Amino acid sequence: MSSGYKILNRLKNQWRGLLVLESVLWLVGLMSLVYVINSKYGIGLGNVHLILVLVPIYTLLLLYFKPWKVDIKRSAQWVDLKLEDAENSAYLLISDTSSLSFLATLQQQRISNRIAQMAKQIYPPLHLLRMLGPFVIMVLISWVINISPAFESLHPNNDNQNTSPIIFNSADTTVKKEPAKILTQTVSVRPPAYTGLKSTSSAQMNVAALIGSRVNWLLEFNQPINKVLIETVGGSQFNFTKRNDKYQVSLSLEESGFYKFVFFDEAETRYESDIYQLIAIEDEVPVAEITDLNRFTQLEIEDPKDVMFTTEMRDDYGLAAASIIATVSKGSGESVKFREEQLEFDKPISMGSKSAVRKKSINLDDLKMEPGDELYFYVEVFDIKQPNPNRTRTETYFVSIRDTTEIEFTLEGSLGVDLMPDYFRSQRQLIIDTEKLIKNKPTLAKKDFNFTSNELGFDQKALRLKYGQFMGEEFETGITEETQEMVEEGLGETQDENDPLAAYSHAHDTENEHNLVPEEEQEDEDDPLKAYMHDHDDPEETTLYIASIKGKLRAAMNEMWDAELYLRLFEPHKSLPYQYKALELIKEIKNHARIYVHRMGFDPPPIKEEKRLTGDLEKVETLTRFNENENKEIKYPAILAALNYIEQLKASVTMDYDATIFKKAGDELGGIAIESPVKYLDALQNLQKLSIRKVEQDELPKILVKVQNQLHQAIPENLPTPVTKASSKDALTKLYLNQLNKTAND
Amino acid sequence: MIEKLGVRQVDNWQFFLIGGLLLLVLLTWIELLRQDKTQRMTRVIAIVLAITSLVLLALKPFYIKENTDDLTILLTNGSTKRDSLMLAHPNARFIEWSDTVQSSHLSPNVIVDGYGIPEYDLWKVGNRSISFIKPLAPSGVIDISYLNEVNEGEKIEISVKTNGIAGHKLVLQGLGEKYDSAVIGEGLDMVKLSCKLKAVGMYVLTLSQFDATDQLINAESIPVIINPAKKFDVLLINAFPTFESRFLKQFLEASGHNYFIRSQISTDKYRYESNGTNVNEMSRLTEAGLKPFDAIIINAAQLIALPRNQQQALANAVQNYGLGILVVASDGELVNKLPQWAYSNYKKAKNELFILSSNNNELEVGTSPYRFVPSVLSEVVYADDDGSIVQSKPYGLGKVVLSSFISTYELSLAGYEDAYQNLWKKLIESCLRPQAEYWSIPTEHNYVHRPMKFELRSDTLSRVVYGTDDIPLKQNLFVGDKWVSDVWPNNEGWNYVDINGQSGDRKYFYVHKPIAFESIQMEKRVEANSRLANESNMEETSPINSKEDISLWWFYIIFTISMAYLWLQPKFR
Repeated sequence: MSSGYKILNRLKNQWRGLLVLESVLWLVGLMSLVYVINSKYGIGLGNVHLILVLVPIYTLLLLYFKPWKVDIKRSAQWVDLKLEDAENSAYLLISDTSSLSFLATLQQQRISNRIAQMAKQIYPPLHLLRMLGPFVIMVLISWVINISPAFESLHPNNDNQNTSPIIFNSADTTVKKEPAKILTQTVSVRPPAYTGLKSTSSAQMNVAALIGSRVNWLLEFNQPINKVLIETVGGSQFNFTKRNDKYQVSLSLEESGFYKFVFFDEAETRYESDIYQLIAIEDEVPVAEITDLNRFTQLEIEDPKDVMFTTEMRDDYGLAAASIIATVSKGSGESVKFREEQLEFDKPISMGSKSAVRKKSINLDDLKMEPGDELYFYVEVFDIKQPNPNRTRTETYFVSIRDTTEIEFTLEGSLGVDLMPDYFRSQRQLIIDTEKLIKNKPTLAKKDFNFTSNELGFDQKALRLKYGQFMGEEFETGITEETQEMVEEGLGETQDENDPLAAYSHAHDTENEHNLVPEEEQEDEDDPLKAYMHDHDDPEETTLYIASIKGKLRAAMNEMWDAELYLRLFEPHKSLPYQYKALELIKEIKNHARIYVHRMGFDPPPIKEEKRLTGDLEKVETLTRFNENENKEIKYPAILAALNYIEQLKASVTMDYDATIFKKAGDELGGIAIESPVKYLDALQNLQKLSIRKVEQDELPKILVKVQNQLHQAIPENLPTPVTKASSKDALTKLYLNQLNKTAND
Repeated sequence: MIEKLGVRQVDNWQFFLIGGLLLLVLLTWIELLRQDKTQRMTRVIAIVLAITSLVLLALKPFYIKENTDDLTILLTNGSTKRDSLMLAHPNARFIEWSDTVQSSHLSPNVIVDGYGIPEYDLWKVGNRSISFIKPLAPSGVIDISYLNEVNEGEKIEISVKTNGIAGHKLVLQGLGEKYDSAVIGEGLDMVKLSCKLKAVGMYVLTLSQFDATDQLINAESIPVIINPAKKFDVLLINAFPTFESRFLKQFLEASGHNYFIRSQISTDKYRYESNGTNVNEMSRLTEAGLKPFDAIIINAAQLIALPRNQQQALANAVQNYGLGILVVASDGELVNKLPQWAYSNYKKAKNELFILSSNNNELEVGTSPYRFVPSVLSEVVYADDDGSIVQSKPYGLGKVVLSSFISTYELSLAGYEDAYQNLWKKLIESCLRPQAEYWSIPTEHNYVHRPMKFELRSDTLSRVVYGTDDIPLKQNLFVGDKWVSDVWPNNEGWNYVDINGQSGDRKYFYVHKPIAFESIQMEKRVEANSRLANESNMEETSPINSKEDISLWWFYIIFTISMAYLWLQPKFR
């Protein structure tokens, strides 16, 4: 084999090597990205998974670079291309000499020698930028992702900043032996199946997971131990089970709290770890909202009876079902009837979908609604949480069909339905609106102000008319123009009586001159039966209410009349006192008319008429009830003791302390910390260290001050409670005070 | 002459004299018996001189000397005018002040330069004529005032007076937290710092002074004692159960206090409710029955309806036992009918609402349509432009509080629980019987190895122990139950004294190191010396005498010469 051939062979091998190297550099760059993302974002790939990922990636890279495509022929082409001195004859070096012509053979030899001389100039194509560029870029990106706080881990389980191994310390400070060390520590969290989330594992012992998740701890020690368990701050213990030299325990996460690892070595010495936190995250309730529809809708009879709306729903882990709960009310007053129905959306929610938008059209005729009826409905949504799904509902929406056969009152605001179940509510609403009008006066145009004031005056009149109904059962009168008209009619009749010719003359310019309206006959005042007759005509003779109520109602209407007057005169501030007074009177009437009913299910003993109202108090006994005052005990005694103890320690020269005080304080703080575990974790850890004397002597003062501050923050604020003042009065002062009082009183 | 002489050896001087006389007699008799009569008289005289010198050597005589020096100039800490004083008074005696300076060292006229003589040594000056050259006020914190003992839940408010540290910042911190801070103004300035500690116990806060560049200049200890809120007993007298009494009952329960409620069912028939009190029933109000309570809350109508003897029992209980009575009067006509000891003048009010400020809210509380008119001794608790809504007046040892609030429970119903609690806290505190305090240790600063005064109120002599030592008590001549004494604390930090030698009755106090609050010490010293200088009067001073010892060498020389003569004279005969 000629030297030229060997050179070409060598070139081929080098070239292949470069391509393989380039593919390897790409592989390293890509794998570093994968590794960083996996560890940062908790994708959950273990080492085996990474190897499995590596193989196909490298295969793809090899398929891309195809180092096997570089053969000796290609090397020869490359030499021909790059070396002019090869005179495009490098291919001769790979040809079989026996098949070559004499000239070709000569050329072959010549080129071989020449190439051998120029061997150092022959090298494969080297694209440094192409080779190293992507590698450097990928490695840089990986490094930035790893260290930059902008790429903070979203999964607290995989917080790279704190994956320190579990360190155990002996609870007995006299024990000098080194405790067993942890070789591997893993906590894996399996969220509830319905969430569809994957399990995660981490070496970080602070766990934050969904309620209902299954948390599994796996520990491996470097030496045999007797027993290992998890101990919560509340005192509950859960033993690990041994499996193949590893210890495992699995618990269901139901509430937040704190825990620590405790193990006993073969000498039954107890060792404890630091305190770690368990954060139980709740599955949030779904969110539902109805759009495209006003809260109160009133339809006319001739309007289409379709109510269309859109409901937007979303949930963190998935929706399960949604339905519309509709209630139809028919009638009013005591004869009102309710009928509830459950309606479904046209397109049901697909189980597990995180969000959904559904339209629905409710046909009121399908619900057999008639004018005057009202429909109340809301949308109820469930999520996929197991075993008890979360439920939410939207606001209640109101739809009614106006009944034009009833007299209605114009109400302020955008209310579409008659929301006046209480007769006396309107006056309060009028006051509110009047006050609002006065307040908005600077920003309103005069025209609008006057218009609104007039509208309020009209509403006041309408209210007054309504109350006027109660003054007489069948007459809608009150101190109104009608009453005024009646007074005028009465005056007219009186004038007629005084004129003897009135009966015979044809009076013009009088009302009813052509007797078009039948006149009422005047009652005979001397009618002896008047006192015994039930008169429905005269509102003054109505017996609907007792006299005092009637008087109050009349007074209220008087006030309403004055209020209306000032509202019509665009002076609402002057009408307010009258409105207040009217409201006050109405409230008094309401309270007067209130009846009291006893609780259901209570049958009082029958009243003994012979004893009733006799005033016999023989059997009425004096009763003393003794209550236990549960607030007398000192709250958080251990924390208070620790606070004071730390204060004493700060003043003392030696820092020798009683660790049990801090242990008790830690137990008490654990009870408070359940509500806010994150807030008190540092304090609990510090108390733990103090209780097992694992604080360095030079750090002790700083830790004590920190713990004192944390404990003081943990104590809730005191209630404002009366306190006795201290006072020292000697005999002279007492004498002086007595004399002073005597002089003042004289 | 004799009144101007004396001897130092006052113990057993008679033995020395008698012994000397006997020796003299013996030696003289021996001398007279001698056959050699030459120079007998001279020898006797020598014997007398020798024995007399010997006796006087033992007795150490002195003579009283009138101090005829006119002026003493005391140079105390901070003295700056030494040179000018020396020029002005070249004949005066200059003394550097120290603890060893005695009263006898001072002339009738004294000039004090510097910050002055310490307060506890001012007695040494006596009734001399003092001139005090007042120095410039020290710069820094020159006064601190605060209550060092507060009850649980109360705020600690510290008033600090400063001089010449404009731009500096004072920070109050403790329990690892910064509570309050203030920036000092020009010249003399006063700032207030406050904090609230939630835990009962004894704490030492720190008042730090930082300059304008946030450098720490000084840090002083501020000791505070948070006492647990003492539980008290309240008696509520109702005609019938009301919402007001119900909410008040809940408030007292939540605060951990005891109450006893009496509601009337009929004449002589009552219904009682007790929480933590030892009272079972109270059909009749008696002085003895009311004594255990600290406050009584009663409706005006109910008070008027009580029989006269029960009204008198109430009055006596307030007057003699110091408890307070809160009379809720919802009607002006009822106020008119109150007994004389509870009555207060009143007038019609323009409105029936009181605006209560609470947590930036302006809340309306209903009141009766009248207001009380404050009298000479009355103290207003709540008032508006119309007059007093709640006012208290002393009655004997106790107080009578009149209130025209109505339906305060509506605050609680409306959700303003804080406002309701604060309102009733103030109302109850205005009538609560004060807790008798038998001790008082001045809240001024106490320093180690310096005298600290304390007072004790006791009808009988008590035993007070500090450490292992009993403290002697001095009874006040005019107020027999008042005893005072001085304690010399010898430990820094928290100390205590026990009354009757028992730890159950222990009073704690804090002792600072001698250099603490230096500028305050200087300021107070200047004030005390100024006061003394103003009070002294040159014309009333009397000359002060001093004892001057006669040098014993004289007697020794006389004795030696006499003995030498007696011994040598026979040899030279």
